[in-house]
Amino acid sequence: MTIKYLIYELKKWVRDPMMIFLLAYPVIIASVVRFGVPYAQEQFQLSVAPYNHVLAAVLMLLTSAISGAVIGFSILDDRDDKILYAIDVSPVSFDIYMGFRFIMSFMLTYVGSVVALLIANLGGIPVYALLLVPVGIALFSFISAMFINFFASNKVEGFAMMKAGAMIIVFPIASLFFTDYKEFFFGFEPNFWAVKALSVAMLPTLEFNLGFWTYFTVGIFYAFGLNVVTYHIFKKRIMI
Amino acid sequence: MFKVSDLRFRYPKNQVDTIKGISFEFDKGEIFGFLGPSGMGKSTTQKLMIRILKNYQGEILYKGKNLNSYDKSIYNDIGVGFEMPVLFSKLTAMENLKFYRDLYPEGVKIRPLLERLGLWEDRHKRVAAFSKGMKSRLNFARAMINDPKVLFLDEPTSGLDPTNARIVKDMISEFRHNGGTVFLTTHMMHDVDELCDRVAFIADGQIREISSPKDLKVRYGKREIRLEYNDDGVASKQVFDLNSIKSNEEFFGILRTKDIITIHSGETTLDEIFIKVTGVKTHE
Repeated sequence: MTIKYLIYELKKWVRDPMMIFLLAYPVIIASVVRFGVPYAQEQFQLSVAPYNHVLAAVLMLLTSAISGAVIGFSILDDRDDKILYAIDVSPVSFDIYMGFRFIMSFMLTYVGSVVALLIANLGGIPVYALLLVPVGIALFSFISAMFINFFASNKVEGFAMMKAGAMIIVFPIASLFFTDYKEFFFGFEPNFWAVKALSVAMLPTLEFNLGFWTYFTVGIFYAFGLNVVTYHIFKKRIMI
Repeated sequence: MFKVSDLRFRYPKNQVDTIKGISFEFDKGEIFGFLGPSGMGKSTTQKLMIRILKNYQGEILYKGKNLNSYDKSIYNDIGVGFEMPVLFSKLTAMENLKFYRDLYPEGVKIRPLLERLGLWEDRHKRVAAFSKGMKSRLNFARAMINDPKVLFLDEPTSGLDPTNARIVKDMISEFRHNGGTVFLTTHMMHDVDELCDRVAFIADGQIREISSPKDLKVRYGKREIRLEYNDDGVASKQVFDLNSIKSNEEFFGILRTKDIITIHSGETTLDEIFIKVTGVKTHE
């Protein structure tokens, strides 16, 4: 069932031009970073190397928001097609059905983030950070998929919600410019913890309030807990 | 098969009950019609019986056990044909049925089902490109995909041309003859007359009448025979009491001596019974 379900889901994605564009978006942005940034540095005699951790964070956060939108739109499609009624009267539970979506959003964001970082080829990302930080980021994408479905009942509304929801990534990006206690002001946003862990890994000479593992672990637990709470509200909101 | 006793239900934001203490039952191998005007509790009752709605008062028994005591495997026995198509519009007919069949431990073969419903040639077409009638037929196929024992059907012939409506009705009849049980909700009184063993009329959350279509038509009809005949070049009509017809010489005299144009009994139609019992016309 699992593999077949994934195949049906992928078929739905590739048959929707907007979904294809969204899936390609992180690759396009990563390519722009890879080729556009060195060109700009050369043209304007600038060095963005000290801000590589910011560029890496932006890439991952965009990937997470886009993956969340893909999954969020897919759930909106199911709601349009009244599929949740059929799931409700089948032996498969709503939780399992949505569980597949969670796994897909996690995998899509994780793989997308790693691939985007590899394409962008930013220097200074240790392998352990390249593989671990996207785990924390990937836990956020399903929250963003649920957020879209809280307020939208069709794709047009969903697109507006995606843009509104994506604004929240401004907070973790802003937090990258603080290293004292003021950074915790941005800690409510779950991605804050992951991008801070990335900063610690990429800027080993700088002093931070916490170490890589503390930022990383708190981020994982926080994002996971937020998924559980959000899911309960989401379920009540969209269940028949 | 199903026994509903003193069922009551109120939607969370409502001030009054939508279902006001209804009781009925139907057996294995029966087609039970559940009829009523829109917004009078018909769909709510069906949603309670298939557990889409919960938190009701009263009791619903399935095979003698409380419905709430079953886990989700109860749906292996049940097929639900919703009024609106419940299909992935971006997937093909074949992909839709395969997806739904994979939700169940067992299912039927897809090809005979689609061939019977005239959809085999279009199996690789996306549902978004289907007409209303094609979606309706595929929706019926979806309800049958798990080889259910009980079918809940809401307007199964809605949007179908007479030929395809005939096919669907024949399939429902065959399902019953093979031991299946059907809970049928429809406004099509002709379908009810043709298919249902018994019917219940619901209005304002209460059951107003339960019986077989035949019994209802006799009870709500008039015990009379209306005769129209040619009386020396003039069309004449006469009504005779059915209770004394065997000794009515005038009636038999007309039959023997006049050219009969039409003979009608006073038996009524389910449409008229619907209006009389629920107080609402069937198209509402």
